[in-house]
Amino acid sequence: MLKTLVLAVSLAAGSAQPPETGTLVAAASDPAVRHIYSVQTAAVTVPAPRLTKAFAKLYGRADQQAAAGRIPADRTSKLKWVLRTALGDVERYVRPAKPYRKQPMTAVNSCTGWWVTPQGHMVTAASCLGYDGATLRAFAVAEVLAPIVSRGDGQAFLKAAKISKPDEGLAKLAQGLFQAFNAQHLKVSGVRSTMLLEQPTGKARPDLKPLSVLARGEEFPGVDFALLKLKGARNLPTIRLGDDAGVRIGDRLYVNGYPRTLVDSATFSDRSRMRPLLTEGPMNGRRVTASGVPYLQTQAPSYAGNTGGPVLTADGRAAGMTVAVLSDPLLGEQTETLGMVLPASLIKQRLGAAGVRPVWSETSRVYRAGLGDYFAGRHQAALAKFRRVLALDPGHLYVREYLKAAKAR
Amino acid sequence: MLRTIAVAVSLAGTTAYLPATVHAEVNERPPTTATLVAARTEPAVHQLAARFTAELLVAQPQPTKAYAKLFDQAKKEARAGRIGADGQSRLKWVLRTAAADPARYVRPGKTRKVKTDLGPGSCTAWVITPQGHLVTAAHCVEMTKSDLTAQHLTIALLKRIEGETDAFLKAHRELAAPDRGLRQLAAELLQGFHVKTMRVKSAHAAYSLVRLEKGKIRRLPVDLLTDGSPYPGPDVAVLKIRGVRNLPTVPLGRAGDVRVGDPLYVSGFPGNTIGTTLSTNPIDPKSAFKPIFTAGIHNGLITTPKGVPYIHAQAPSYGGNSGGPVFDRHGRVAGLLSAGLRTGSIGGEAEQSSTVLPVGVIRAYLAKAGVRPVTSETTRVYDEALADFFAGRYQAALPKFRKALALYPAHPYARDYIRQITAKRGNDA
Repeated sequence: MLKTLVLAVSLAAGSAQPPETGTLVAAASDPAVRHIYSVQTAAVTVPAPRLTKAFAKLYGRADQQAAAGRIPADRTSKLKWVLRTALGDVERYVRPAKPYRKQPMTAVNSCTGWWVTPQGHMVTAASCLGYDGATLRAFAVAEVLAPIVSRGDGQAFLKAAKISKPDEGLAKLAQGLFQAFNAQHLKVSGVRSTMLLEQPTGKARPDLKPLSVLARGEEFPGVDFALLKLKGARNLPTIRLGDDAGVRIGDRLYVNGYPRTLVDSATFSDRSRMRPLLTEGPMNGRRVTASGVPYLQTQAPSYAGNTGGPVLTADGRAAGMTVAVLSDPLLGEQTETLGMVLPASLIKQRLGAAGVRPVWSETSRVYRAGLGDYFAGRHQAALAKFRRVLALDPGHLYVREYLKAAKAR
Repeated sequence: MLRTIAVAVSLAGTTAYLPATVHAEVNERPPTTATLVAARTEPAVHQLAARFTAELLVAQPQPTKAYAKLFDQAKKEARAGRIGADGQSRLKWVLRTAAADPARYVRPGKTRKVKTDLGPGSCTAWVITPQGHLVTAAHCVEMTKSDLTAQHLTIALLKRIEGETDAFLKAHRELAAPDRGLRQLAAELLQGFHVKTMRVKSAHAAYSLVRLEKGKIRRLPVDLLTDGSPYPGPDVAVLKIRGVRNLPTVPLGRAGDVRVGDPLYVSGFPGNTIGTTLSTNPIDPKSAFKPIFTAGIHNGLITTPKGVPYIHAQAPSYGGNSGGPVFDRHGRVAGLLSAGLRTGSIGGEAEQSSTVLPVGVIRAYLAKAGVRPVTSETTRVYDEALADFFAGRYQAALPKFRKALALYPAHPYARDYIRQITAKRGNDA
């Protein structure tokens, strides 16, 4: 029964009511707006911890402390004192030694990208190309060292000290000492970054196709632009680049993309997470970043994962690209409605520098005309255009549904 | 600094608010779509309170012989230098060892009955027949048995353990005076014991519609007729108010009436206003009995892994909005508010990522319950009155508002409009 309902909901898109601007903006841009991933693999290397002579001497000092009545005389209490003292000057009590321990690491980020040529040139944000060195290190400390390496080091230490049932405090102290040591001597090497395009297959698991990086700008507050390329593509749907100079405060803007609020939510089916969501809000003003880059600000909600997605005007052209949201000055948390939009003029400039001319593809032109017919109730005319789109781009992700809906009428 | 800002904000709010109410001016501008939808639907949108109570069987903890023996073992541990020889270290060791296997060291003694109350939960519900059939979200009226049991047990546990911990440690006074560490260990042991032995004897849920009548808060009892299952299932429930007639209603749309890009309107009661007091809530609870209306577009259609469709809507929603109606531009129900998506970066719920159960699914559940949505005579008359009112035909509107009030004397909105029109008459004269 529920399946029938889903169908009813999507088919009814051809109701008599003239479509809202947003309805057309979404329908026309969806095929060119894609979910992309950056996947970074690296090796995390840390030397083995060797406890120094100074550390060995701490046991004797702990006995003295206990004898003087400053700490309890049981072994746990003394060991806690030893670890706490060592934690105060890790370099003195723990030295790097061989063998080096190596752990593989994988960091994945999720973004939005959009086609600007039928041959597979894709615009996205530079911040979508993977994490920088400092962020990767922080990731390694939190995701690899703490749960795996340092935890093991702490357990090994307590085992050697013949503590069979350590209390929580003792285990924490032991792990903490080695975590401090490991974080200090951590090396992240052999970083390999890959960009992948999510290609829905109609099944739960999508295909992932590699994208090459042709150009990259600087992350926000710089010119947060990157150019990617899918090999061997033709007749792809594209988004028309517009003119940001004409966008005025109060004009309606549309953000299309893959917010991680949805993408990361296990409560929704894999298939529905592979479709973009369109949000809407006025242009609020113009900003120039500290590094001198002009940005538009919009209230249309955006979230992590929307980064790199197009920001469209009522005519369906891109006035810019979502690259960031500002933080709440009081809470220090990311907001939903202070979106930073890299203007289309800068995107055009960077495309030009890379020798790429953005094109409104034949596929998208015919598809847009077909949608116009469809939403005006001219289903026969729409049918012919949708068929032409399918012939041009057999991998088109949306046209089959409209063909079915137009036929049903 | 935060406090200064809060004051400034509330002051600004007050100045903006006062002139509008004091003069009750009739606004001559043509209304926006949202104004009309809000005006037509608000009489049928209500605050729903759910109260979950239970009776639990709780056993008194009795230390076993094995527990008594632990104290001798503790002495041995101390002699071997593995733990401190002082009374506190030994008692800690005993409690820690016992907490690892509570069934062995504590056995159930006398059983007592304990009553728990999960307190009032607040949601939004809306009327679809003159006889008071209501729709809300399943998660507003239903808790899974395991959730319910777990929550009652937690409350009962907290109640029990607070009192029992000190009594339990009192028996060991000669070893050590209770401190925070000891209390925590004893609480762990007792919790382990109670979690295993507590039983829910009976659980009860009661629902009521909360509203203001002549300045007083009134609760109307409500019965549950049928429900789906909480999100990500079909999150819908059908209820009925007892002994009412001529209630204002909202009309239902049909599956597929709305599509991506269409405006949607959420009506309801954001924030748990029931039970909050003036000292913690800057809003006068009496003013919180009218629904709050938010707007935003349809962002896309999504489905749960169970195949249940949901609309993703940008109209802001919060706790308390759950179960509330989501309207299309014609004021017809397009769905009901189920939840908000979580955001990783903010860590909480996003305000503008609402998930809405489409009206098609709601209609299926109404059919199952044998409930046919009917527009009430009160609403028909009231809608005509509103049309006159917003077109500036106040004299034509007045008798219609009066008729709506006569049909349904508890109609707070019709009363307000009558007051506005008569005040305007006075001004004009």
